[in-house]
Amino acid sequence: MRLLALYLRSRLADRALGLLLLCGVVDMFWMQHFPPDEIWRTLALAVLPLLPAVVISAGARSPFGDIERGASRPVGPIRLGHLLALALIAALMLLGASVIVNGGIERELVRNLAGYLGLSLLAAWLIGTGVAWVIPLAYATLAFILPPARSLAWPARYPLDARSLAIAAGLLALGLLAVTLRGTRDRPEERV
Amino acid sequence: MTASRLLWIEFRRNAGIWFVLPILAVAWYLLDSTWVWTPFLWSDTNELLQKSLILFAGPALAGLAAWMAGRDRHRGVDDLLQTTPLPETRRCVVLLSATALWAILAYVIFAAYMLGRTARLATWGRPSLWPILIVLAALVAYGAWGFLAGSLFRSRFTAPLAAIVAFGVEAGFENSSSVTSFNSGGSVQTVQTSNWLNALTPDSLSPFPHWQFLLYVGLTATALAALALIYRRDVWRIGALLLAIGLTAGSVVMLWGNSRHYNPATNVVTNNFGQVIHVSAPVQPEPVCAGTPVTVCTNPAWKPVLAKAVTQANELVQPLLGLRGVPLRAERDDVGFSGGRNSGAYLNLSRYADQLVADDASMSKGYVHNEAQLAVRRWLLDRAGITARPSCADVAANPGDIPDIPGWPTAASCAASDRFAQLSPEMQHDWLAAHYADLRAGKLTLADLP
Repeated sequence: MRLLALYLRSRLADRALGLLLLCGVVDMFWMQHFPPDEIWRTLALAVLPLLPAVVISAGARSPFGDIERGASRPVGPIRLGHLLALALIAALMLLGASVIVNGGIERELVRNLAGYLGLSLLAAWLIGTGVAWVIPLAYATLAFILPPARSLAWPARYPLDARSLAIAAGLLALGLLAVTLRGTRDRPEERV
Repeated sequence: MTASRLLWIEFRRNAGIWFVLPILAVAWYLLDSTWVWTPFLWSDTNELLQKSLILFAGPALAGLAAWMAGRDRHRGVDDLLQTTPLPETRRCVVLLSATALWAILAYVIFAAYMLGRTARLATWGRPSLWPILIVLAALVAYGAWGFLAGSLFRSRFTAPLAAIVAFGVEAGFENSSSVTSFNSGGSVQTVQTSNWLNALTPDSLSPFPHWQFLLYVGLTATALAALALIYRRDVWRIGALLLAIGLTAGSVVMLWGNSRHYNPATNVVTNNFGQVIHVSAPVQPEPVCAGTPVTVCTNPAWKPVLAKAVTQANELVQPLLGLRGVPLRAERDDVGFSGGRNSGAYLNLSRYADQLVADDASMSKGYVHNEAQLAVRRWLLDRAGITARPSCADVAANPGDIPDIPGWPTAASCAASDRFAQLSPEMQHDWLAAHYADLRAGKLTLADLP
């Protein structure tokens, strides 16, 4: 229990949780104030899941580096549990916001959260959490502009289809696997 | 140490270098696969130079600047740097400038490619300076606000949130629209139009680009003045902040006030200041003409595709050559332009085909509606290899979906066209020689076709 508490403190889990709650408020505001036409739906699918996804991946940063690898207990399961718990909270926020205002895009928001989180985690594993957000941001920009018919634009697909769901789930699985097994590529000497 | 030397050091040791390729890659992908860029048109280049890059580069620079703002703290040297004689504000401005320069470098590379290619291919028009200046000013503004966010909230979450919020705000303003209701023929109609908030985004050009430019200058000045206030509070800095906010607010008011609304009920254009705007028709440039026996005249900007259009027009008119009353000149409204990437652009001659089979008096609202004319028109277009939409293939594939609109083929006219195409060239010529005048006058029916 002490290990878990220390781990969560080292990942600034309390601040991440606060920001996820703030994202939920933004989701509610967005869905209540903007018309549910095609453009705004595409924009909501691009932006709303991206916010919690980058918060969760930024929170995955380890301040200890190699020291953590030498711990007596493996941290992989704790990493996975931490990421899944935050992802679950973010998914509930998105679901709640869409259901409360009858947005009708709850399943698509959760799909995009999974895909963007997977991309963010893969980027955190490859280039570090500091600038990991640039990959999902670039992807969201393309998905926002590209015609939804193209497979590359899976985040813009509405309604939910098996292909886009499989891509998002695959990205999430890869991202979780990479960060759980290898951690993020960060410099422990940097205080962030 | 001089400011330029410090800037050079910061430029070399900056994370911005890793953003140049992603910015170029996203901009290039959007330009190449989503927006149709016709490289020989200055109008296309001016527009896409503005909107291809900023949508990603702006938010990315905001996030990067927020990240760079916390660099000294990340490395644990912020206390050490406090002891140096250089003022902290100046150090921040140099770091921000070096970071923004990398994004500006990406833009310069992208702009040089687009402008260079258009300068080589274009036959008419010129580059517009405003879109370039607006994108540059907007990039700096994104960077300044990202840097301010990174300086105010020194957290690992600031950079990603700054980038995503910037993306959401930009995309949101770009896609904002207004719904206007008006009374038309006793029923209330609604139209959705872009509204003045579009002018706040750097990827759409306002009719008043100088206000748009000043808006980004004002936003940058506001962020810098607020940044200066973080480190020292004095009356000069507060005054600078108020002045910058005033410049920003003034620009927003001018953009709002000058945005135009068209009222379809009264056919009047007004702006938000209540002034009636008189919209004059654009001046048409002297057309360029080429070809014989058919001469095609078109806007000089479309000259690169004129030769192909001349070939098609002569192919189109070939079975009618020698007949009396055949129009041998395709110009202005008869020649439309269809944009396309690289060799995909072409001049659309389907309106010229209308003129070949129908005189003005036999048309309905400017379109061919006589079925005999439609049949011969389609035959002419098919043998010249010109595709006109909706085609007879569309009619056959979706018989219920093609509305009965003048100019659109019918199943019966398509069948008659197929029959006519199967005749020998001599029989086609003989029939046309005997009936061409009546065909153009709209006096024939499908039963008169062989």
